[in-house]
Amino acid sequence: MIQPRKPYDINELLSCHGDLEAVSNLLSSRLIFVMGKGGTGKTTLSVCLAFIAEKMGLTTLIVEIGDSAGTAQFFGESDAGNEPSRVSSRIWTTGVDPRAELVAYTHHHMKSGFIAGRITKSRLFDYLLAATPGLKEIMTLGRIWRWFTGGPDKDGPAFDRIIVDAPATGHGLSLLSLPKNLGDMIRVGPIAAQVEDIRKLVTDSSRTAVTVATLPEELPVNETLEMMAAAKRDVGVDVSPIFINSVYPDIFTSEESEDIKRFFPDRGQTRLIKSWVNRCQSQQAYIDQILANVTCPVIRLPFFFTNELSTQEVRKLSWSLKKA
Amino acid sequence: MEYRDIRDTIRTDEADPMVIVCCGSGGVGKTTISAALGLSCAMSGHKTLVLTVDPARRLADALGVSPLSHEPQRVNTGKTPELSGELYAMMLDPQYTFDMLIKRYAPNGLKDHILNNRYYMHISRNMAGSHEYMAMEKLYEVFTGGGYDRIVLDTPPSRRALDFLEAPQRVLDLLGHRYFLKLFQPYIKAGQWSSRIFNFLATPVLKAVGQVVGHNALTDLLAFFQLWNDLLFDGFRRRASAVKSLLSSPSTIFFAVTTPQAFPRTEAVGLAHKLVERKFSFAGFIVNRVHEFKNHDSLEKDPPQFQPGELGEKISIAYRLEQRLARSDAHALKALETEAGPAGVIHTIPFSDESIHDLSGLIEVCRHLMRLPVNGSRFKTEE
Repeated sequence: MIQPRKPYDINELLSCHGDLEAVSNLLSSRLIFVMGKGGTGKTTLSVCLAFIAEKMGLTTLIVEIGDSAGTAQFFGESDAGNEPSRVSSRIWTTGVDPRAELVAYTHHHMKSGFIAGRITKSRLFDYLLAATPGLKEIMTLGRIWRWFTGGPDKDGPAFDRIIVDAPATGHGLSLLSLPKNLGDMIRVGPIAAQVEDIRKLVTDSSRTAVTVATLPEELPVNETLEMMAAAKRDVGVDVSPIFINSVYPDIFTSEESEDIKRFFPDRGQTRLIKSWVNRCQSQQAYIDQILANVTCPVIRLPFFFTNELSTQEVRKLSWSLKKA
Repeated sequence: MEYRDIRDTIRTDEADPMVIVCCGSGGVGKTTISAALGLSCAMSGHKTLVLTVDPARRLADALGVSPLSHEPQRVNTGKTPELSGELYAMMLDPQYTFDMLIKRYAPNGLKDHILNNRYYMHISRNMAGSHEYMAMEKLYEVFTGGGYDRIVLDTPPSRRALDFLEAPQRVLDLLGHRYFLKLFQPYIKAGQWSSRIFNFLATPVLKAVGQVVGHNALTDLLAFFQLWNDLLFDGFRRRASAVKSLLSSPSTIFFAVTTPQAFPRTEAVGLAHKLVERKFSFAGFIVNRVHEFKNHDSLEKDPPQFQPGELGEKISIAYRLEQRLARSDAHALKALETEAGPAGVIHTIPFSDESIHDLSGLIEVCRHLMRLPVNGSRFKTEE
């Protein structure tokens, strides 16, 4: 239990706790996948990591998958776009359009531009993209691969770090498990060759890290533990560290908590303090559940008692995370 | 803004069957709200079915649902005096639903061809939109089967609240586009399945596609679409348009569920506008997990006096932080009023200390929705 020094400083209460060294380790990987269900603070975490990297003098690209544009919106852009755009001095954001990737891919591998054009304009093309298991994902990863391996783009920089804000559905694991699944479906052809490269990159822990954002609540905790087991089993990657978001500051000792629960009347203003204590205890139980089930580092991010974090607040959060 | 009794909206005094759809982005508590809405209907004497998607385990236990049972289960409501109607619940299983449809429409000899085709497996399990499509399908089946006065549908988890409306159409567009029918037309009456596939591969475009993705993949895909278009598409299309008319009929109402947080709120507002624009019956917003503070302004000017000393100081910190949160929520509700416009009915449910996973918790949520006095202590309200 963390006991803040007196006098109580709100900034100190609202700071990060846990194995903060794991943050530096995480940021030593060039490619970082941030997993987690919707509403668990994935975007905040991605931005935080990018802010830390920025302070270290590293240029970071945040890639948003699917139709989400949380990071871009956080920086005041309307959508994520398909090419990196600069949102801070060393932070860039982008989305990925798998269809555009497949179009480029087809043109690249077809001898005849005429036939390639016919194919990409045909409806069959959209069927293929939507119905072929993993094709969208491999196109997405293929784009990330090019950002990862490519030197500086014509108009942009080379990226020191690439942070992938993974899709919120299906644990985001579909993105990572696909090189394995697609290998079965598409056994020959140019795509099959690329799958192997990507599989190596995703499972190489010296280049790639996979982390997860969660909340100290029943469903998010269970889903996180399931996702981590599946990542190990199906993809062969270790998820580390775990970031628990929106954790209440632990200001009352356990004796104080018990006293409050026992002696405070159940109404009015004291009702609120009792409720605070209940909330802290319930959160602690879920944090304990995580700690009991994993061996990787666990980091707790504070709840800011607001619905919208400002850029300023996220910067503050990142400083607190960096105190490693 | 109107704070209205939910019973007006779910027309508790009307006997005609009704469908209540709960939409909203992931993580806002849609499943709990759906169960509470179902309970509200049952409390007004209606025989009610809740179609739920992915409840937390303890809530699933309380409702008596499991992914293994594909039939509605009567919820054991024990001795709940308020409950005059019957409450049933069932967990949606999109893949099972899809398989059942194939079994219904496909001719005997070909059922297994489809069910074992890898494209079919992918489409029915993973393809974006197929879960939403099957949720609507199940809803339609249950509705036309009759037997329930009220059906509450919890929609599949997705980041975007709009997915539920748009995804099924995307699936159908994809599966039923003319291009494929045209492509297949010359071969449809030409005999055996397998030989037809080789005919396809002889066309230059498909040959070229095969070079990119590999011939095996293409053969599987073609086999699937061939079966689909020949045998299933008409049945599916007829059914889809029936589902559409059920959803747009006045007996189906939609709630947008959100929390005060910015992202789900924006999603809920976007959804509401889309529903209204497309002439669906939008019933209002349900804002979950609101930290309510009466007179939070005056509290700031006149902070509560607790005992002096260290504990007192800690308490006042906790108090100040809670006030900050309540102010943020009040601000969010104000913003929602503005964004929602004059027609936006807003129901709020206060934040609960513990996750709601039993019947008594759900009843408290109902009482909030019905604007009845709540005597439970789990909700963070201040009298």
